[in-house]
Amino acid sequence: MVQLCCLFRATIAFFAVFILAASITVNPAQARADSRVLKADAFILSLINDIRITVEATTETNDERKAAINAVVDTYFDVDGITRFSAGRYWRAASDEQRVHYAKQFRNVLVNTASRQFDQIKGLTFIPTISKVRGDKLILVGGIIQDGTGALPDVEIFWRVSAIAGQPMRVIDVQIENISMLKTQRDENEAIIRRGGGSFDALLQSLDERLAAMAKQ
Amino acid sequence: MLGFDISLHKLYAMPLILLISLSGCSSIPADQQSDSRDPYENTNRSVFAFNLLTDDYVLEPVAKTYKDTVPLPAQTALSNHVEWVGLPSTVLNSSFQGKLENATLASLRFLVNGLTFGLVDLMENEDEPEPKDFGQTLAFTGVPEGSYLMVPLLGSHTTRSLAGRGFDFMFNPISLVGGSSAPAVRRAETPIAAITFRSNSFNVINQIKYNSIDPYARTRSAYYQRRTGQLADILPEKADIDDGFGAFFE
Repeated sequence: MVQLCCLFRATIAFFAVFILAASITVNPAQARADSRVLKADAFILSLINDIRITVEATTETNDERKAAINAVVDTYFDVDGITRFSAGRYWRAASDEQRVHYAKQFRNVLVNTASRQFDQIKGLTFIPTISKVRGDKLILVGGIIQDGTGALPDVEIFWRVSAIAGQPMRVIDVQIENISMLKTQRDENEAIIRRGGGSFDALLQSLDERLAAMAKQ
Repeated sequence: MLGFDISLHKLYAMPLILLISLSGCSSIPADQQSDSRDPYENTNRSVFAFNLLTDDYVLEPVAKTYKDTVPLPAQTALSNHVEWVGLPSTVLNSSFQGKLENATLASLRFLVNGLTFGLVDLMENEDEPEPKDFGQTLAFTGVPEGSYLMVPLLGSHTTRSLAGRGFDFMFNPISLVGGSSAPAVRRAETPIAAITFRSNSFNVINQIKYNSIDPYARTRSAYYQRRTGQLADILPEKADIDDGFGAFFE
């Protein structure tokens, strides 16, 4: 009777261990996805930290600001991809010369705009929330932007990060309250080209004019 | 009469009258549109220019003064109040859309915060209801979106969302307030909402206004993306936020 009881206990213990082991066995695909998400989260936190350091350290001259922004952009953003995507369907039809001109002016406008907004970034805090895997190439790193002064409401933000196996992670888009900055830029550029009769030069001319106006301000 | 002041009707009708009078409202050929959802683009751009002018001379300076001079707690109180005013509409539309939990949350919040006329958020740490409007309810019932419309003073809409806005406006609790001071309160409500909105979105709107090459196209794009997000639970097939990003890797 005692032996039967021991056998019963041993059987229960075996199943208990088996069930426990099964419950902590992680699906390999899930594990890979989780590790990509963790890497993307760390990548964005590193970017936020670099932006904070940049904002705090470089306020002397406008050129210093621009140099610091260029360094952050080159380290963390897929500039070539963003440039190509932002021109929309007209990129394919553009000549090499137009593409080079566009890439240069588009970047100038972005960096100039960012350098003017340094003061608005001060005092903002990024609080990570939930990140999501999107297929095998994209991860959305989520968070909330909080204004330390309490003057502005919290804002939901997602960083769209390209995470292709064997390639370094890069930010391709920032989405704020459901509004993708890259899609908005693309829609604006396509509208300019369409209203210019489908000519890519219409966009280039608008960019040149915008930069000239910025230089005067 | 339900204590509904006729001046409120007039106030709401004004942008519509302006819209109609500004528009020869002829649609432009598809190949000349910069977006297929915007057949009245030329008219809409004229209205947008008018709205920008209004912003230059009225809204932006007033919102800046408001931001710089009104103490933060008072700003928060007014923002709370504007949010509170929208709750009855959220209750109704959540119910129409079968979102009863959201309707209950909004009802509770409306009743509790109603003790302070919505000025103090007494349920600060509780779950917040998601704002729901009648435009969403119309989408829920299958009404098509219609065209993009830039409305004088009210900004971006679609035909459907503009129709919904009229319905929501009728359920503004301020329109049900009686008493001798009621008309003044009602008249103050719209400017307060406009100033708090402009103030809370000060940098975002200025970013579009001053740093865009084509502020109209940028506003339209942002409106559609935001609205798609708000309709995500009703029209999930249209709400794939990564839609189009496949092209990024081609």
